[in-house]
Amino acid sequence: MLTVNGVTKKYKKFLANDNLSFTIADGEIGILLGPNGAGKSTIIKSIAGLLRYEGDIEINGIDNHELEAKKMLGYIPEMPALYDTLTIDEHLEFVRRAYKVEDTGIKEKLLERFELTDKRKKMGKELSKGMQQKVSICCALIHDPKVVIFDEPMVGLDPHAIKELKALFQELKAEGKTVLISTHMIDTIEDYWDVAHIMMNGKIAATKHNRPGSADEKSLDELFFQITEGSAAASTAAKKSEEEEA
Amino acid sequence: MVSAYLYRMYNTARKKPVLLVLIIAGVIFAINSVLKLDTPAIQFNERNEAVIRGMTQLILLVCADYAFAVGFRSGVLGVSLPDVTYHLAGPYSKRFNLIMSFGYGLSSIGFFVWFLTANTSVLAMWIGFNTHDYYVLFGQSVLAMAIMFLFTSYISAAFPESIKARVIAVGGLLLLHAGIMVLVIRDLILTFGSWAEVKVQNPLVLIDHIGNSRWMATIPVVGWNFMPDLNWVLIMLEIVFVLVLLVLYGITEFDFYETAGANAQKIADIVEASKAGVEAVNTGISRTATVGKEVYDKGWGANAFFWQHLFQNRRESKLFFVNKVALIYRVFALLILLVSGSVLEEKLLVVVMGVATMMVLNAIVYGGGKIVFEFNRPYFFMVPEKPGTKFASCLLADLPEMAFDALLCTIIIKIPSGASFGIFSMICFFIMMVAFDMVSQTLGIICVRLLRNFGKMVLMFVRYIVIIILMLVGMTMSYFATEAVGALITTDDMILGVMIGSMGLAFVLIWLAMIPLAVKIITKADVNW
Repeated sequence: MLTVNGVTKKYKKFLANDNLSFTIADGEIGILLGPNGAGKSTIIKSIAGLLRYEGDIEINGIDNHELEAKKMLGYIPEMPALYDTLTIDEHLEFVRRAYKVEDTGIKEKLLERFELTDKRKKMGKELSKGMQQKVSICCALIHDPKVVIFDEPMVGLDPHAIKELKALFQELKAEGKTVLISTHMIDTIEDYWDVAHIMMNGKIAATKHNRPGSADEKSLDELFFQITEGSAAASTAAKKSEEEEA
Repeated sequence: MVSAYLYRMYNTARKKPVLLVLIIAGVIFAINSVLKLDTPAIQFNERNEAVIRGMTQLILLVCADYAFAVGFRSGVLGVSLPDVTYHLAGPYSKRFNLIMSFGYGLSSIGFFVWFLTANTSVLAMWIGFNTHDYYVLFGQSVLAMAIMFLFTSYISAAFPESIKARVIAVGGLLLLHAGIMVLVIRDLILTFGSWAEVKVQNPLVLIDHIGNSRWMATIPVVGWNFMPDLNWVLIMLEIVFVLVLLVLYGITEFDFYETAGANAQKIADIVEASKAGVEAVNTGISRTATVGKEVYDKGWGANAFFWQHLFQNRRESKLFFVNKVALIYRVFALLILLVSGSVLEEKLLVVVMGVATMMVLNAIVYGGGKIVFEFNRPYFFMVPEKPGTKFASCLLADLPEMAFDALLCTIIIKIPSGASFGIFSMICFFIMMVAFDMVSQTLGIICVRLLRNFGKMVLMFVRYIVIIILMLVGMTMSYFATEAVGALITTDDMILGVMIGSMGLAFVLIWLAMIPLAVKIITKADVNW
């Protein structure tokens, strides 16, 4: 479980996150939606313990700065930051060793899943952005974390990797893990999410639960555009989705 | 397209008002210096026409060589990443983009001319150089520099990946210089009778003979347009040279974009590295790394960081324990100590000077360290181990480099100081240098994390102030330790050993005290990448 309670983050006078609170339960996929600059990456980095902030963040009930919490957390940054002169293989080996994970073959499985096996001897500096992102995902999953946070994970990935990643989200959910995904690309979100928080100006402007059968509620598209662009855009989005359904 | 470029330049300049004010003040100062050259207050030496002509010719040679060197920065090395995006990929011709890339070289030349102009009063006081002489020098130097700059800029853009072309151009120039030097020396010996006689001549006499030597006319451009001796054949030769150059610029199909783009990325990396306090050479090294048969299979928990960095160092170079920047400084230090050793009779002083030199140089070499890049990645912060242990693991990865360097420093000091620097003091010095390097490296990381947003200059300034304070702390401890055991000391070796060893102990204690502080600063500061 991931609990964010009253988190505020300021960059000098700019309020990036304003008293944010939300919870993602075990076996749930949470989505952070919002336009550029809404504060999604800031809260993701705060959860990863990379930023100073006011408030509390807990991973399965443990403060996110504690070592026990770090063991349970996997983080995929927006910008992959690999080592120039380590190969893909060596990146995974380094992370495995640093997290004290026994070699049970998980490395091979991840390499195969993300089609990296034949490129395992390539160094970080030789990889494209998409490849680096794949390595970054593998590194974050190698220690089998209980809570996984993804910051704009689809950016730069090829169709196969996007498909695998979506399947991975479902698998993590089925395994009872907590998943939080930050994205601004509403089109990439299909029906796999459980709760979506729409962020605007550092705040959660709306929260929507994915409940099948609640036909009277607005769709995620409508809600998103209503919040970010006003009611006119929302009605356009509603019309579009009606057309698509027809 | 010119207006778009000028608009960008204008906006860049507008954002740097202090720099603009400095440039205007500098230009006013330089003009004032030139206009004051004829003032009797500074013309207190008798004017010597021949010496002035000789001096002008030699200065022209330096100017032309400088322009020759900076010309290579055009084309493949003259563009930044924004230039690649907006100019190389933009609707501009290759020739225009080549001219656009002249910016760095031309500003360097501008600064060089300013420096020359601002210092002409020295020439006025020394040899009676006046305003008219300056105009002659200025006109000719601008002409010579423009031609030489265009020449090497052409080589750079026309042969973007050919090291051979550059070697031929530079080698040709060096050979020409060497040949002329030999011929001039031969003439001097013939004039004065022997080399010993040449050496005892007044420098002004030599400047006259060398600058006005007949061989000077063989130097392209510089020797051809020398105004007091206008030779129409040489002038025609110069005009032909310029015309050929212009034709070459007109007919060559330049193809330097790919190399320029790659170099722009490299330069951006170096700039980023230098912001982080890392010597530029380190960034270049990782570009040569290739995957071999080496296997990464060591480390568990926090010490995985140590083995990972050590592994990367080994991959980057077989001589992973050699810091190339430090090596350059060591040569420099050896020269200083050899000269000092031959002048100073007291060898103890040579050792003291050696220790001080090595420390000052290493404050630069290890003032940042490659480790600083680790904190630009998430792994250090995410791995569930104690931050202090992870930090120490990272720092210790540079230990082989520091140990080798300390050993080299020990040998270098031993050479000129002889028996005074015995085994005991050598061991103490070795330990002290490693501890000092660790302190410098840790301090560098602290400064980068705390002061990164204040810019490189502030960062360096603060770092040096602190390192000087820490050196003073070390020296104070050394003083008290020597006083305390003074009665027991019988040999130079022991004196030095106690002095240096106590300083080393101070650095070890400082380093140990710095680690928790550094860890706190690193883990409490925001990580942004």
